[in-house]
Amino acid sequence: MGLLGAVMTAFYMFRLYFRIFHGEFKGWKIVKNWVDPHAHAAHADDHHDDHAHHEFDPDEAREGPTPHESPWQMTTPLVILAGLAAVAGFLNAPLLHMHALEHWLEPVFKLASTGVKSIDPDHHMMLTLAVPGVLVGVAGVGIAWFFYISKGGEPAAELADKFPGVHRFLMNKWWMDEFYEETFIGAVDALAEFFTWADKWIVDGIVARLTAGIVQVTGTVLRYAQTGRVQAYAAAMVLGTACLGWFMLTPHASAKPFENHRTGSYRVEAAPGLGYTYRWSSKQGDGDFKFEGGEEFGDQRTTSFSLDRGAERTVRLEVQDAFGHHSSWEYAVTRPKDDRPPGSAPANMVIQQDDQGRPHLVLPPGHPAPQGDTQ
Amino acid sequence: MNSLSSSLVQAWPYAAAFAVGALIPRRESKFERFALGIVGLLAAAFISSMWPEKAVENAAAPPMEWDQLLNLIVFLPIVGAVAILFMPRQSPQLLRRVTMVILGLDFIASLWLLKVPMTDGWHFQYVREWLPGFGIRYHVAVDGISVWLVILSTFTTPLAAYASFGSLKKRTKDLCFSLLLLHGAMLGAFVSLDLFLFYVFWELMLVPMLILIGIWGGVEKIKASYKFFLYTMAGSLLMLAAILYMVWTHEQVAGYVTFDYLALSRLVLPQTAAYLCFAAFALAFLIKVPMFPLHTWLPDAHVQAPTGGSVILAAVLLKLGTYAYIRFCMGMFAGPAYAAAANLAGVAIGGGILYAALVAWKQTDIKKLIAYSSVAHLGFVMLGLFTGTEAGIAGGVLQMVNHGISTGALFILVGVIYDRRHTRLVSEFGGLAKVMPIYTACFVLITMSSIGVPGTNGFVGEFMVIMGSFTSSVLGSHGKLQGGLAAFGVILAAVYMLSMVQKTFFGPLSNPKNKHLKDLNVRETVVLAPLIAMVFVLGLFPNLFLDRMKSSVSGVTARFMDSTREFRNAMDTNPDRAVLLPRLSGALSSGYPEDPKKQTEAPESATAALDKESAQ
Repeated sequence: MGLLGAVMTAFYMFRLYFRIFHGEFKGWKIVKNWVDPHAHAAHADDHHDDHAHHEFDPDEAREGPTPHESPWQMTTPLVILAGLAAVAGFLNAPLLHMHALEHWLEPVFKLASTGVKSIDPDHHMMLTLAVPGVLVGVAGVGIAWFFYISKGGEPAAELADKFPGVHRFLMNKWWMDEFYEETFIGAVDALAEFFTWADKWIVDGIVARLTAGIVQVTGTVLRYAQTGRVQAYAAAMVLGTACLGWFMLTPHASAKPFENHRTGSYRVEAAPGLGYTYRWSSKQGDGDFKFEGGEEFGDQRTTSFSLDRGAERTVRLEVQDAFGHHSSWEYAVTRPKDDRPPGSAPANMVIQQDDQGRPHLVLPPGHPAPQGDTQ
Repeated sequence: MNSLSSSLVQAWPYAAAFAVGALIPRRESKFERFALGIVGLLAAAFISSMWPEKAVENAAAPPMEWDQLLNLIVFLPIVGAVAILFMPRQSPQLLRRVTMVILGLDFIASLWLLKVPMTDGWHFQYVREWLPGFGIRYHVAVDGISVWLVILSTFTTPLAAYASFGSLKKRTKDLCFSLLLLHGAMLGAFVSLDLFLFYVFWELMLVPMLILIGIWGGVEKIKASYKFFLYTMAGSLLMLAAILYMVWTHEQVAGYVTFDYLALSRLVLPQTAAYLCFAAFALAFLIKVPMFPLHTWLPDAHVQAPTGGSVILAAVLLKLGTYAYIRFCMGMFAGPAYAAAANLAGVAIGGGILYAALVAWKQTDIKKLIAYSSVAHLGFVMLGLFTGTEAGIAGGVLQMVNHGISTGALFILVGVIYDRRHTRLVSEFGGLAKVMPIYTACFVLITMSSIGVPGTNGFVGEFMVIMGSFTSSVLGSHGKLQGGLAAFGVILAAVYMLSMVQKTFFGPLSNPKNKHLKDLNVRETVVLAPLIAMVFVLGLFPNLFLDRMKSSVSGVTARFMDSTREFRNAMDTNPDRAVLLPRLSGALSSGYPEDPKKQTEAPESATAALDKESAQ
């Protein structure tokens, strides 16, 4: 495989060399003492036809001066590089006993050498490898010479005619660029086009346009209510007052419970109302409701009771308004068995029992005292 | 060797830098050469004065922190803005000069912040009671993160102002007023540590920016300014609600009212409330950043805004979102921020880095393209913050500065071409390199920095962010995938920037309208020179910046992780209860409001009364 690669390298490099420097000149028709017809125009107005040079007709027979050697600025570096290329190979040539570069790359490969096994550091192999190496190089040059020089390049053209498919395949660099163009670039391009569309119509459409639309529609609808006609406003007012009156004229029983599971004491406070009288009843567990403070409706707005651990109680409040209508409300409570439900206090607060067995909250030093519900 | 000659020898790098700036560029005007020389000299002076050896000397004997310095920096522009109102409208030259002098002084004053070694904790702190009845105080301070954003904004705003004075000739008085007020408000938002104060500055910024877009903007300026205002306002009102809820809860637990950031950051809210408050804060900040899918106000605002407005918007205003995310979201809601980080990082990559890059590629308007590239770059910044690693956060902060410089310069460059042609469509241009070579060189250079080519500023930040996401424990097992995708976003940055540069500057000069365009004028060169100098200073010496933010970044990261742990502990114990954690000590505690000496006789709650009843 390596030999084949060496043959091909020699072949394509010398093909390049033979095609450029041997044979006939094919660039343009050589005219002695040729003068650039564009030179004047370009000088007079160099803003204008900068692109004139790029757009020529390939079929047009063009004329030009005799090709000349490149200027010294280009030649000098080339000469230096060529000199080094010719000589540098011998810097480490064991056949000539030169070892200038032997240890050059050692630091780089120090780590790699632990993982990679070097097959032939053996010097005996050198000659057996060097001779075929040179030979395949010469062979590559020879093949190039046969194809492009010996019969004026005929074998190359014949071969191209014989296998047009292969020729085209190679001419187009294995279609590699086209392959990337169609797959990766095409996919990313389509994705980008879609995203650009989506950004305008979906993202912006929902976040900005749709919300703006909703606000606008709501505004438009509400605008119809604001006609400026006093009769309409008066009608709405009458309707609203009637609804409010109806609400006021029916009783609504409601109360707020205050629980303290730690001490087991509970209190329920009824919401006040115009002309309300209250009646309380309660039941233990699954029993029947028993009135507290008699069957009569009275002014008692709160009731309190205490429960043992695990005990359950339901409180019922009945409200009567000035017209004798009734309404009721119920509240069931169970005192938890564990005095301190898991996590009732934050991790850094410790609850201790004081000498009367009541819980007592100890705060970390420097902690401001909490307000209210824990004590 | 006497002292004169030794000082001459010591001055040679500065002299050389001056000579490079003044002599090498082929410019006609003497003023321009002098200004370029000064830029070179200042860049050299900046590098040498920030060099780590100097910083070590300073650490041994830290210079005194003048506690009024931040007040000076924040209120100089605001007072200047008020003073502008009393100056004659008829003499725009005077107004412009006063504005430039104030902004210049502000920049010089802000450089003083760098004299102090930025150890973890608060520096240049200044605390006074403002509205004691509501626990609102005037509390400003900087740390190693905000100091860079302060300097970024004092650095870019004068340049933006100078650039816009070249192109905006009408209503100069209003322009000067808006620029100064905007500048002061942005600086105030970067340094305030009281949530109320922060909110005031945060909202105050909106008004001058609205004016900048609404008066000097393009064709659809009113629509764009409305959109900008409504988007930002919607987020910040939610934030206000969250702030009030936190203050109320804090009062319930601790017994006193305060809006102080440091006090509130020790509050662990009940689980649901914590997530909701985090969401409200994050929404306000992510709209500002902006992050997908809330980014659509940005392209509109950028396209319509005048050059100066765009520069400030991109360079500084957007950074407030990212800065506030580190400071407030990660500082006060570490637990929820930790939990949301992996998903948000996915959004930052998918919606920011990749999506915005692809959309940018397809834009025909250069300014819109750069606006979408901002979304992509800020996706990188946010990704860095979400990683919760020191490398990621430091990279994110560095990337904020980088983006401010690169994108600010890009908007100035687009403004140059817009002033000449009054269009920004890529299809209108092509082959500009032939008529505007210096402009093209600057544009290509800034493009490289925006892409993140090694040696320019963009590279360091992006590299650190990607490294951070590879090693992040917050992102968990997806970290490597996300780091890989973010790296892919760097390629896309090259795709959209280079394809635009290629179409605009190279190829045939086909449009006859472009054939006689003038190259950069004096003003434009002078504005661009400092930005280009900073591209290389940041790209070649990122340590000058990283050294000063290092201890703050590691402090922020460590506290983020600690607070996350504390949040989880509190949630395991009881998720329905607000808890107050013990206060931090040392440089971090300073500025907390004092605990009330004696608990005030609060009205007894019903339960307490009941307890008494049952005890009797």
